[in-house]
This record gives sequence, C-alpha cells and structure tokens, in this order.
Amino acid sequence: MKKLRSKGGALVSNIAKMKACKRIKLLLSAYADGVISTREKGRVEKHLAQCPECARLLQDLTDIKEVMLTIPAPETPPYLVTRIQAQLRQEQKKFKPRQVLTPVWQLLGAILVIFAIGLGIMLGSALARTNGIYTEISFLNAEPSLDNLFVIENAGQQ
Amino acid sequence: MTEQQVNEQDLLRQAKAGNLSAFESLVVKHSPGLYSFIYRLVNNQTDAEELTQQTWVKAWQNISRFQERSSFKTWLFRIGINLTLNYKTRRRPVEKLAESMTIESKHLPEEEYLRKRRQELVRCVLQELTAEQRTALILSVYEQLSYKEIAQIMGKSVRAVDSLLVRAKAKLHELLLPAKKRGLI
Repeated sequence: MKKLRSKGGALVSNIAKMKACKRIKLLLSAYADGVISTREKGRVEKHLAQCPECARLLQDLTDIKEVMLTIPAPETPPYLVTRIQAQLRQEQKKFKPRQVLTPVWQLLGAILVIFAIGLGIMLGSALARTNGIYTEISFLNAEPSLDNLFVIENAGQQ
Repeated sequence: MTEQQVNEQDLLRQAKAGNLSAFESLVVKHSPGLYSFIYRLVNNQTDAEELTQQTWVKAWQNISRFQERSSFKTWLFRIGINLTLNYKTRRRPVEKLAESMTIESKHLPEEEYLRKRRQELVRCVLQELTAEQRTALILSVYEQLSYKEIAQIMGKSVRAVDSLLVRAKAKLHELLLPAKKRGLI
C-alpha cells in the first residue's frame, strides 16, 4: 500500500512537472528573443534553474539562431535593379499611379464648389426676381382687353 | 528625424505625385534588403528575382495609397510577403545534405566545411516550416524586427506572431535534433 501510494505520488509530481514544462516551453521563444515581461522572465528563470531539460532546449534554440545568423545574406544580382527600373518604365507607359490631391488642394476644391453652389443660388434667385418685375411691367403696359384682364386676375390670385 | 528619413519622405512625396525617378531612388535603396528577404523565404534565386520585381511594380501602382502609417520598408515587405505567400513556387524537393554540398566545398578546411554543412542544413530545414512560420522567423532573426513590427507586416496580432515563432522554433529543433546528436550543430 505504501509502495502504491509513493508510486502514485511520483506520477502526480511527474504530471505536474510536465505541465509546468509545457507552459515554460511556450515562453522560451520570447525569452530567448528578450521580449518577455519581467514577471514571466522570473517564472522562466526559476523553472530553468530546476529543469535541465528546458535549459537544454533553450540552449538548442540559441544555437539554432546562431547558426542561422552565420548564413550570409544572398548577394543581390547586379542586373536586378536595372531590370526593375526598365519594367517600371514600361509600367509607367501603360499605367500612371493615381494622383492624390494634398489636403490643401482638397480644401481649396471644397471651398470652390461651395462658392460655385452659393453663386448659383444667388444668381437664380436674382433672375427669378427680375422675371417677376418684367411680368408686372408687361401687365401694366398691356392693352386693356378681356383676355388681359383674365390673365391679370389669375396673376392676382397666385 | 534623421537626414536619411527626411530624404526618404521627400522621395515618397515626389513618387506619390507620379515622379518615377524619385521612386527609382527608393528601388536602389531598398532592393538589396527586399531581395535577400524574399530569397530567404523562397530559397531560390529565380523566384526571388521574379518576386522582388513584382513587389516593386505593385508598390509603384499603389504608391498613392501608402498612407505612411508605417515605414516604407514595412509597407514594401508586406507587399512582398503577400505576393510570396500567393506565389505558386514550383515545389522543389529539399536537397539532401550530401547533394547540396559541392565538390569544391568538400575540399575546404574541416572547420570551414563543417560551418558550411551546418548552414546548408539549416537552410534546407527552414524550407520545411510553413510559409508563415518561415516568414515570422526570418523577420525575427535576420531583419531583427520586434514582434509588434512583425505583426504589422504580416497583418497579425502580436500573440499570433508569438505563437508562430514558438511553433517554428519547436519544429526546427525537432528537425535538427538528429544532426545535433551527430554533433553537427
């Protein structure tokens, strides 16, 4: 019974350790890159001090990164920029990038439109008024007749 | 703001107004970085050249839409990544290590030979990652960008980038374990 209990205890402790390792492994990448919060850093370091397996993994990650950094940057082919420039000139012939107005021009455009609309309204109402005067003058100058009287009466009702 | 940044902003303003010469100055400045980044993603010179060229054409066509919320480099790399992820690269079988080593390199001094072997091995293994994992890892290791910047370029959250990097490194570790046991790494 004692043996069984100690075996059970060991199993529970192993499961707890595995869970802790799983959690720490998720933080190791950020820890290796130095982008981890102070609180999490403390947690990782505490675990690493007790767990050689995770400490080894961290060392492996660091080694892999070091090897990656020894791979030299590929050299740019000397003709690449020239080829790109040639293609861009071709593109320019068939396509010009959309011209975007600067905010100042956009504002000036808006003011101009509002001004044009205002002017239109003013001119419209002035014209309407002038037309009214002309109608009254034409009534006054008209020869008195039954037709004109009918028109004048109708105009008065309006 | 440095003189270089001011100069770049000036070039951008002119390029947005349709000045191709100004845009070409940006091409000269950023092409080596863009090419080497794309090369590392696709591990093939022809594809890398083609994609670099396509990226610049796309950038020129859309330069007026660039709102300068991020740096020009970030915007450019984002276009490059999108094109690379959508590019149907002819899937080349991962070279076996012995095949990838040229006869010339086998005559190198032992230390140099081992270093080259290690580099070839890592280069091949990197191609076994998913395109997104590889992108995040290359941006982190070679471009030395922060998780936030990587998230911006890849259009993902910082948490998603962290998760991509965790999985990428775990897979690399798993794939390189046999080489490590043989003392290659």
